[in-house]
Amino acid sequence: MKRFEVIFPETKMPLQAIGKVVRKSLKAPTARYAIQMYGIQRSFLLCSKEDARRGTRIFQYKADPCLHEGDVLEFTEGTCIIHFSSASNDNCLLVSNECNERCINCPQLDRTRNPLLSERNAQIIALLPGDVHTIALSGGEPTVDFPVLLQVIKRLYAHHPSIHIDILTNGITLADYDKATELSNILKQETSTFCITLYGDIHAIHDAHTRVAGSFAKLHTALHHLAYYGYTIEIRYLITKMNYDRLPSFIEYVYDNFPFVDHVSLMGMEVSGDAAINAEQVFVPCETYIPFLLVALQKAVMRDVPVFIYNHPVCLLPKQLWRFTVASISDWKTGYSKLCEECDLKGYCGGFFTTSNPEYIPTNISPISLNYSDEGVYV
Amino acid sequence: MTKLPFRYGRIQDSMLVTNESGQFYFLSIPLFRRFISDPDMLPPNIKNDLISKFFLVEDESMEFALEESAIKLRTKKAFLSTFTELHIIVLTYACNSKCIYCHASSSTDAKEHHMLTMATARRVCEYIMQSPSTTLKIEFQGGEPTLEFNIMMFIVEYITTLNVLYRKNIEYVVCTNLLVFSQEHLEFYKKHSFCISTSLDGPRDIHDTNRTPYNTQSNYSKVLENYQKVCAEYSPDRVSALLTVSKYSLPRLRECVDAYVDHGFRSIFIRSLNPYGLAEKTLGELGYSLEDFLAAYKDVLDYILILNKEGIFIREELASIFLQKILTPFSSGFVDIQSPPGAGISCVVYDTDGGVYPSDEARMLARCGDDSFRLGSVLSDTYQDIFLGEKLQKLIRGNLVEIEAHCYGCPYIPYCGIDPVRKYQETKLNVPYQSCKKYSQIITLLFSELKNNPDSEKVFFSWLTGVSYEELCL
Repeated sequence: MKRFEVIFPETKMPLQAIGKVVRKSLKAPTARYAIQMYGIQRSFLLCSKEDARRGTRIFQYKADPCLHEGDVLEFTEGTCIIHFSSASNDNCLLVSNECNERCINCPQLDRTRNPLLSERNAQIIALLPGDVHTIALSGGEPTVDFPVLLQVIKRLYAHHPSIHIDILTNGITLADYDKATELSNILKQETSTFCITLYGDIHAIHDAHTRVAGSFAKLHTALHHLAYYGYTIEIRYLITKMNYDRLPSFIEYVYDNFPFVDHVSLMGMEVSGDAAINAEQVFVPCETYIPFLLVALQKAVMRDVPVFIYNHPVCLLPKQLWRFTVASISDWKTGYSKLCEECDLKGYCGGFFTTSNPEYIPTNISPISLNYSDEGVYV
Repeated sequence: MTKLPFRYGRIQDSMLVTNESGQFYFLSIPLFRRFISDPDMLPPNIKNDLISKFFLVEDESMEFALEESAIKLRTKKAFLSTFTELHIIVLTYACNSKCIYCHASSSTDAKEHHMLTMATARRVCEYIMQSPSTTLKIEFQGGEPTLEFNIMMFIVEYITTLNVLYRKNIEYVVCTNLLVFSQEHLEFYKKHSFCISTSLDGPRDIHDTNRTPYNTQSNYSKVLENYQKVCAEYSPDRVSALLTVSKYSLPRLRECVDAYVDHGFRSIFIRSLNPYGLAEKTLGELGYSLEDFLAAYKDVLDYILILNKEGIFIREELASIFLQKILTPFSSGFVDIQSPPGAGISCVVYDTDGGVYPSDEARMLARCGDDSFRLGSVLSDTYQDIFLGEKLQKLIRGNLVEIEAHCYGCPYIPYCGIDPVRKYQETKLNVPYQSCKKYSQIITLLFSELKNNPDSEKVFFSWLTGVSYEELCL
């Protein structure tokens, strides 16, 4: 979720002010946005500081956040959060802050319970545009507060019966057959995907990441439950210093044990939150694991297991791997350096996490210029 | 650290270990010794590999490892959950070709009641539909089944009618020499999405020697012409061919492969001569030893691998059957090599007189006067009598590689199977375990390739996925 600074009008704002952009006029940097709020037709105006008129219903921004009609916003003390951006590839509802794992590489620091989330989500859902295609449910761990998760799903379907729902989960809760069954009665199979993180092909490595004993075994049970109920499953493998050498055997493991999986995503790490604190243990520079990545991808291609490489700047990877990369980092976290302007592949590249701790942002970025012979490589 | 059940065998200078669900790993001899005596002292990456493949388990995750192994075994044996899927119907004993190695001993004389009547065909259809399997494969055989095209059409029509009620997925296969072939036949095959299984014995001279037509004309051109027609007007993926190896083709298998490639085939099934049944009479004239076959097979497999690496996609089907079990979490669907055996529970043969047999060889045996394997008749026995009867159960129970004394400790158990009728014939002729010798040597060959040659591994996977070798290279 992207935040930007807002100067409020002199009147005090209520605690939760969630609204939706209903009209955009002019273009950046002098755009003006009409925002509807409080469930009734009360419009507010959001415009640039220079352009601002004073008034009780006018908010000002310092830098244009480039909003679009249909975006859902929340105004709080001093800032505005964009909860839903029509232009984004990565819209996500935070179902719960809490988590039942304590991943050593978690980019999030705040894992305390927030009782207001549920009410906030209800408001956001009601404001989502009619043509919303996909929304991800995340956290924390979205299944921790199970009744709340079910409620969010029901609300989503009530407003948008054909919405695609991605659930980003560690699977622990769904090892409980009754809960998996309950979920399967509500969540539509054909329009839902489970994105499940697996840190290794053996329990010692996985559990060392999650810091919960037995989480590896529970995840297997959950995967079998989800496969039984016919869901699309994506397995995410976050590459860390503790597991990069297992990449090739991990691919074999997924193929041997979870042949029902739709695809595997190999993820680069966002070094923030706990991951930054534990960087010494978890961070591994890309060049270290490229040989393992190559073997792993060869194994995947042979087995016809679809694999995508996420969160990696294309220029750090050997050419054979370019076709597996996806511009995947949430748009608000994506960064490019000045050099990237010259790169022929900027439009395809995921860039790097601007949210990562600065010392772990790659420095060896170099622009790619395609020549004729490369054209077949990157498709 | 505990070892989960495993079997082992030597592949060149390494030890191959396999487990019940068919996973495998190569260890050098010193590492194998350490694995046996003190697995905790193995190098960490090897230890992790062995944990990952369920050969080793740390005690705290024992329950998990057993549960997961059980799921994998269940996946490997998934063919058991469906019951009889493949139903072979013999339409006639008559044939228009006189193949020198014919084990069906067909004849042009159809007057000996050796053809399926409408009434019997109806009964057969009714029995087929009683199979609990939701997917059925109905295969027409002979003799030459296209000589009785009307009966074939009648059966398909009747099955289609019955299926309004049963709602099964039904696939049809016709085993034909493609000599009797018309536009009408092709339209019929297309309409019912038939698979066409034919025979091509290699280049012209070998094919015409092996498969002599009754009229004096060469049938090679005719087979190819009709094959091309099917490819052009139907689909090349719907026709496959068998290459039965005779004494004439044994030294010339590479040429046979070339012929397949030249004519656009994407697969070849190199099948050794069936030494039993009626062909015994001519065996001396046509036959060759198992050793000769295996040597020739090894040579031709090398050649096929080279072709694939040069960018020519041609899959060898016999190897693919084993590779499917070695390299994927699934079984192969080839009913002759599975355990429990496919006999009756995966595959069944209906003879022209309504007799029911667990395999084609069992039917041949009965024709030679030994009806040990006749399970009953659709005309006089109930479905339950035939498929749930003591005879079939005994047959299955007595032919499991997992408990066969001869197979004890063999690392290839997860990939192998016993054909009960073959075993019976081999025992009777006092040449026990010929099939064992054949299969185990071929599996050894495949493992040696997997161990020594990463490029061959890519070719093998390309056969299983149908993706070309080139595309499989990163």
